[in-house]
Amino acid sequence: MTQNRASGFKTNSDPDAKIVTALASGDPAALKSLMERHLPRIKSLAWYMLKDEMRAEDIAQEVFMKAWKHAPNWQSGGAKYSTWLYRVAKNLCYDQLRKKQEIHLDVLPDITDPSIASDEAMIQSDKLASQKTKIAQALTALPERQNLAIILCHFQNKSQRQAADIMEINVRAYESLLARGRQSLRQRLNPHKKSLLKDMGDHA
Amino acid sequence: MTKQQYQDLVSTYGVHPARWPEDLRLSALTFTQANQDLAAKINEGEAVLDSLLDAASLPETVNDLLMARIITAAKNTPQQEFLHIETPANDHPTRFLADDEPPTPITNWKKMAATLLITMGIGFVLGQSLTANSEYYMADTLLAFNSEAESSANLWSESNQ
Repeated sequence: MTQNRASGFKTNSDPDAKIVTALASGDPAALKSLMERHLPRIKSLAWYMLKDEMRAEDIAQEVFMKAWKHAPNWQSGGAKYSTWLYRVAKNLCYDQLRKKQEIHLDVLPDITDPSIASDEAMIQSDKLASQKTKIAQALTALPERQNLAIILCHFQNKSQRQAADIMEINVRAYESLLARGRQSLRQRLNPHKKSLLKDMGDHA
Repeated sequence: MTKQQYQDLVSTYGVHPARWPEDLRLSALTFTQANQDLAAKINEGEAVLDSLLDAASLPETVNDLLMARIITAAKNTPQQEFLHIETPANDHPTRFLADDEPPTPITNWKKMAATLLITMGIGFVLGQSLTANSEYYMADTLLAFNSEAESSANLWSESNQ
């Protein structure tokens, strides 16, 4: 019976094949290995889409719980297991976005530098946070799929094939979304370009 | 690669060669080396956007607490039973059997219940039609028995006489 488990892997080309086979037999250590490989990226994908630390963590948990529960019956048509993980994350984020149309952009993760002590440093930190918020607002204002295309290309460094697979569209459609997304983003950020670049220069 | 093709490439993927499609990377790099000033001019606007996006990027770190929380939850959650179902090949790259969810025993029970209900419905209809006709059969049969009984009684009385 166990030989049929996780039967999606017809070849060993998937780097997660062994982990998923172990996961299908109910091994929690396999889940840990899978998370060590993919959790940071899955969580960051959710964060970029939702701009909310807590919800990003919840999405990440749900993705890996689905991986755990469904591992014995997972089937592949040829793509990597990680593509499925990203797709689940993407779909869960879309569900969240549809449930809550209004995104609270002011909820940004605390990226604090412990070395900050002086007032000057606090001002620099505020400027950086403001800059991040403006860029995050511009990204979030994009149509969902354009936003996702930019996240996958720019923040997740996915290849065009991987990104298109995650988005469940063809490469041409992905490139079109990416080009339109960047164009919209340029237009949205153009009025703030000088101040943003100045803040970046000050912070550097 | 032409100027227009290079312009399209950087306006889609930005100026970092690592993000360019593998099959175009070499020819794009050849273009930038052969046309340094032109490439720099094309890159100018896109490089600003890339820098702004870089500034908004989030550091990816392993969250030990979150991992521990997920493992605890997993240990308390049973995995779905393995169901060996032959599925036709398709070109969908990664999937569960239907709508991202594998078929569950509940789904199979639903199918069985539906089949049972249909069978019961057919049985009921057939039963009704047979019952409707059976009144005539019953009457005929009773009459036949009565007439037979009468003739037997007559024969008995005749033989006794």
